[in-house]
Amino acid sequence: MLYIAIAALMVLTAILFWTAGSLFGQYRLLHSRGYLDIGRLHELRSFSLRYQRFDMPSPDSIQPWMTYRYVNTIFGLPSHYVSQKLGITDSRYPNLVIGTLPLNNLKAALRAYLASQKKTQ
Amino acid sequence: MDIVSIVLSYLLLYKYIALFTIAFLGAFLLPVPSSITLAAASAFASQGYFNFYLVFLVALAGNLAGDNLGYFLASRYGQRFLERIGFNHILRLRNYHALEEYVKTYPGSLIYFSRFLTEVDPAVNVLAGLVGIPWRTYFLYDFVGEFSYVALYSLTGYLLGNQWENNAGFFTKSGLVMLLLGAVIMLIQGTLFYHRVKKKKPQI
Repeated sequence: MLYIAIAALMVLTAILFWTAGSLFGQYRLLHSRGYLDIGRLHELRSFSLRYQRFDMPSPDSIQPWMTYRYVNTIFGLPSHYVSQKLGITDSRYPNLVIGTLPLNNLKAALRAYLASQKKTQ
Repeated sequence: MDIVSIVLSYLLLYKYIALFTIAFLGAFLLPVPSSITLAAASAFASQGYFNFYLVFLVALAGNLAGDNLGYFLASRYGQRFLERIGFNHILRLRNYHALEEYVKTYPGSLIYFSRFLTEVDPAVNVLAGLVGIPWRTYFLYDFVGEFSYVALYSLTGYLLGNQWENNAGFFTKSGLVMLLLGAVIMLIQGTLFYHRVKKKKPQI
């Protein structure tokens, strides 16, 4: 029994070290890219905001499971911009899942909005 | 749409109610993707769609509520339920008594580490209730475990922000590390327990 326990312990420890090593590798990768570049916990919020400036969501990242309210929030769209552009008449808008709507139309509308914002800046 | 997509849509539509419900169901019984939901809610918080502190508190409350409901139902009706479905002989097995004694001797590591594995968590709650671990002991380890789990997943989700979907492997690996760490500790405890029981046996 004792020998079996010791053998199992050694195998589990080896797997643990391997997984922890892999996890550490992933941590180092994130750190090298500056995602985890924080020293203190209370700075987390400001660092996260700084990081987002480098990595703004793109219209290509829109997924069918997202809602219009979420899309409006993360891209800073006026609340009725998308409904007017795409002719959405559903009363539940913007609390509505994008779902089956052709995503390309929505992405095009977003690109147009972002381009117009760039021009005005 | 797959189950994760459905859960994420539900999360975006009903926000904190959805987060609580998913955390509760995951901790209580159902195999719902509660870890990925927590990480996603935290990532959405980094984008300004959720409040990070509320995400933390709601997820913690949902997990604790689900865990404690499982524990209470098992401690109150567990034995009667096993008798009714004809599995009461399990409670009389020698191995069950050994398991019961082991869990009562070392409840901490079992409860703490199982919090990181939503698939194992409900079973441990039922076991803790069934073997009669005192509620205060159970709640202490449950709270510390759930706090660590929610902190790990929510902070990682928050830090990863828009990249959370591409780094889903990070969450799986974190869970695996905690599982293995728990397994190593329990193996050490199990060996110590085995020797203690062996010593206790009267010499003939």
